Amino acid sequence: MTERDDDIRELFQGARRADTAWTPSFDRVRAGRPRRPAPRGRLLAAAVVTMAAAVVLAVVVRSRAPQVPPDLVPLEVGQLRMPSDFLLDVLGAETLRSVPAIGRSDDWFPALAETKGSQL
Amino acid sequence: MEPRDLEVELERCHPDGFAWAVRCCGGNRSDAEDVLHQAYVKVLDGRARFEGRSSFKTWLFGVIRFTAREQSRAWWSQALRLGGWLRERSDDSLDPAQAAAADDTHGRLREALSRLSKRQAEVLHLVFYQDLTIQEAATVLGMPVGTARTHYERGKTRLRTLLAETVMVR
Repeated sequence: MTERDDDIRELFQGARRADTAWTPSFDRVRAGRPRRPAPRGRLLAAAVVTMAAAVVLAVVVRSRAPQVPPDLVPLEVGQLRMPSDFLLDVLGAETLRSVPAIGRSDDWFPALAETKGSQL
Repeated sequence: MEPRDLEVELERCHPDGFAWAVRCCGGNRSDAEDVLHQAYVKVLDGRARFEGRSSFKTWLFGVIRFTAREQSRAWWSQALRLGGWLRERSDDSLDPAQAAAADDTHGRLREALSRLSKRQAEVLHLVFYQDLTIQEAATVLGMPVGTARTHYERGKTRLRTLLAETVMVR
């Protein structure tokens, strides 16, 4: 600090002298201020803050929930139709989907069964 | 140091301690009173222990500053005080007659200090208001002496400029 700082020093010391009058007593500060019950306004403010926080939390949680993709593709085997399946749409295609019974020739040769006795 | 000696020292430093607490609480006298109470409790309970590495006043100022920072971090409790804030402001301020008397002499200084950086205002307060050396101010603020000296020099220059501007405006 130099003599050139006397102007600043004087300002601060003037403030210090004035502040002394408004300093609470040592005993009062030592004991601590009595706690007042929370006023209604304070409780209301706390409630508003809590509700706002809950709303924000709900929005954030909802926006972060994993999105379920829509069912664009039928996943059941019977419904699945591939692009080349049209090749199977031929005359007599129902025989391709049936299982032949062993021992009954007429299942295998329906045309021959009709002429049974003529050739076999 | 014995508890009785501690209490005597605290009482001796009380006016300066309160002024420093007000500075650490951004000018709020109500918060400053709470912070100072917390600091006294820490000292008398032995949670803050004076080990004689600096003067008692310097050490106490460090405790007050640390306590004020702890308090300001309790943001949730501050949010809960929103409702009572306006009402408490009227309690904290000086009455009109006091304010009028204080306004002319200190209003300019208070306004100018509020426009300095926090560190500059703190260093100037410790040096000019509390009569600490720059070395002691650095200890209180937990910074190197060189840094404190820089804040001191720049703060003085800026304060003079701001005070001159205030005079010209008036």
